[in-house]
Amino acid sequence: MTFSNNLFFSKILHKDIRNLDDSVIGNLNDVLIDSRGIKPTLTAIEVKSGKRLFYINCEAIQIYRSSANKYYLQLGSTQVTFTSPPENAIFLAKDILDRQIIDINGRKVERVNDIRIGLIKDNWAVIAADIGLRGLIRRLGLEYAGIMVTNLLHKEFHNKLVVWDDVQPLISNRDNLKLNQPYTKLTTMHAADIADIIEDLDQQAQIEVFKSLDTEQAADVLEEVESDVQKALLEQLPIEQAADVLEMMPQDEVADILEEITDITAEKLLIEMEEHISEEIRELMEYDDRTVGSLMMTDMMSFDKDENVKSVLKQLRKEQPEEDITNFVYVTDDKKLVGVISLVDLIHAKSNRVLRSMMKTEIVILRDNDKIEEAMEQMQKYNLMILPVVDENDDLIGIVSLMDIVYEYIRLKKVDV
Amino acid sequence: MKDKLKKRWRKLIYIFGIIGPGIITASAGNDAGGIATYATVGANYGYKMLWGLTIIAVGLAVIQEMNARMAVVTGKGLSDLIREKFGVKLTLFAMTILFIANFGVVLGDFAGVAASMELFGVTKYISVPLVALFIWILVTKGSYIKVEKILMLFTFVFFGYIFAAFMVKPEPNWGEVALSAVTPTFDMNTGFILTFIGMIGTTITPYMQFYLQAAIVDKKLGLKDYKYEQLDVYISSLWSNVVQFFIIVCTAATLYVAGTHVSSAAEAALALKPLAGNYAFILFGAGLFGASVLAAAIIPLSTSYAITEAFGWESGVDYSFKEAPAFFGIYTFIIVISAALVLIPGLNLMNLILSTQQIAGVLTPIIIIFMILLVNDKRIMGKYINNKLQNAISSITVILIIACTVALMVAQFL
Repeated sequence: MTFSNNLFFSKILHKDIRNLDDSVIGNLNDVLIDSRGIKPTLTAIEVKSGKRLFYINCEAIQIYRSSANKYYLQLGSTQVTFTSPPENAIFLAKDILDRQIIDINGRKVERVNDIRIGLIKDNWAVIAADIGLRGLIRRLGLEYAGIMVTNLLHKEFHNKLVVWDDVQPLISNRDNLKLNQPYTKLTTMHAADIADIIEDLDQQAQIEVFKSLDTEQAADVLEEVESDVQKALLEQLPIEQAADVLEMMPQDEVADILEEITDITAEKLLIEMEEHISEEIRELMEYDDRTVGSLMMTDMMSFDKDENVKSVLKQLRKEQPEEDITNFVYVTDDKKLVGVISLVDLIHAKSNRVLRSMMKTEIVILRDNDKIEEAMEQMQKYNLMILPVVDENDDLIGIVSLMDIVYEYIRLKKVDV
Repeated sequence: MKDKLKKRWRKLIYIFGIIGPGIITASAGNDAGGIATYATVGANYGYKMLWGLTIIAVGLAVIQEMNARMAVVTGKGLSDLIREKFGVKLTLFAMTILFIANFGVVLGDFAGVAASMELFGVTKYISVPLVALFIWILVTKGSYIKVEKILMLFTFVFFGYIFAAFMVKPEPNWGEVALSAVTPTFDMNTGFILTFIGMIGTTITPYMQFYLQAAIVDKKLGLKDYKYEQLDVYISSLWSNVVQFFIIVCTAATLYVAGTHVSSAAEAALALKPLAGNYAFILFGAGLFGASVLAAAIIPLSTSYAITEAFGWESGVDYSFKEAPAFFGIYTFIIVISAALVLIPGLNLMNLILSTQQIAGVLTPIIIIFMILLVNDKRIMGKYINNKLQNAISSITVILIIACTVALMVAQFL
């Protein structure tokens, strides 16, 4: 009989709890944890005695292992018992064992087959999640048989553990209980990885994880997830929060998403958004799926023909637009597109030169109602990655990139099939 | 105006999107096993078992509604919920039950493929391996969805029984039919009890509960869609029961009256003669083939999903065999072994189909008990737990099946 300070939770779950005089007072039904730290600590055990449930603080308990490798719990001299658990208590067996967690390092959703617990500075804590086959076999009570089989095959029967520092539990699904379960561990992950994980989760976990992201990260994640998940998230998120997230996203994407969801929700979202953004999105939404207008970016760099190079460069520095839309700046005369200048020419030019004196006037343009196939042809013919889009008055209303065209083209092909 | 139309159209598509999982599940439920069983029920016992169908129809609707409710409330599949509530040991038990029942049903469906193609003069040694290969490639290449609709079209053939029932000469005695549907009669012999269990087993198959719940979860339907989804499961279980009802009436009015016992697909096809005359074989063969292939594709796949999800293993057709060995292993095993078993020379295909449904029938209550415990757990369902009526009906269904199984054992010794 030895004192144990590091073991798998399944070894003591439903095992006997003995009093000082070795009499059995019940069995371990569950363990309450305090999950505020990086590693949750075990605070009390839930004892089942007949049909009765009661709780004993963890400090009073020691875990022993017999020579036959059986575990049992023994109470110390002083013990605090209580009959009802604190509200919002989180349980190790009911809330974590057999449920899904996010492995931050492995960037995957996994199921918890067993839990490693250990004594850290006199406190029992959750150390790691067992997500491997050996954990499953252990739960079936066949661990030693498994070891024997693998020995026969001259292989090692490895445990597959994820240290708790890399574990993000997913605790949800409780009636009327709003758990303060921060998903802080997720913030270090890349948006694309979070998106993959969210796609793997069930709907409730999806929304809870998504809600916990800050607006900027949420916008990046929403852009990455598949369209059916986008739809599900937006329809369940509180309208104000959803609108905030959408405001951070490229407008052509927002227009695409809003066309997919129910009209009522889309309308609510548009009303909630800032007016200048929602107006532009509404305009984009008017366009047919297959037209250039539906996927153009409306936040292009355009300048009046009478401005000079110096002021243009100054504005570019100030606004720091993304690389792919600054290769060309567009010159307008009262909204009408009249010329185009490449960024390179702009940099080489004298700073007091006026745009109209250096712009190229033979411009390849697209109309907002052009089909995307036409846009592809034009881009291929003239070897251009970005083309300006004008409306029926020749007013410059946006630009469209080859990337977006190709993306949409492939998507439409898929839909057609 | 155009816009408004477009909007209304979209709303309609949306509702149809929600109403769908139930219909597909119900169609796949009327598979080879189903058709063979109902045909046998009618041909061998006339209207005697109609009352049983009435009870199961109500039971089926209530049980499928439980699935729909669990799906929209939790957003999780049935095997996830079983694992999270019952732990590893009981999950292994439930999954073993599911595996055995599903393996049997797939076996029955490959027998259905063999039987239907034999109607067209194609030997099973050609049809079964080809179909097995076709299904395996179809699903692993992810192009299953495109074919699903075509296969479903085939199963519409079985609606033909409804018309056939009204074209039979001499006409069925409708008064007797109606009376039989509400009057319990029971013969204490193994043949009757086995057939009765098979009828229950094929109507409320274990796989249906897993498949339906997964289908609703996949559609990302939430509580706001609940009323439509509820409608979906009620309508589709009613609809499939109507088809089943008329298969029994049809076969009873033709085969039972003529004293023909169904021992082959060709005999079962005779019941469609009033509708299709000499084309009955073609019609029946096509329907049986479509239904069998549909179920033989869906069931191994849903078994793989259910088991791998329960144990937290990689699942999905997007993975490679190496990345998700359990998923593809289970799927491949079921198809290859069940197809191989059908090829054993000298098998009576009809008997094989019928006995697989009987196995499913004996195992069904176990899965339903798991479901009843889950759906009544406040921690999982909150205020959406079963009401007293739902508990009563689902429990009566369970008790009825268990009672039949016990009666079967007792009858062995009589």
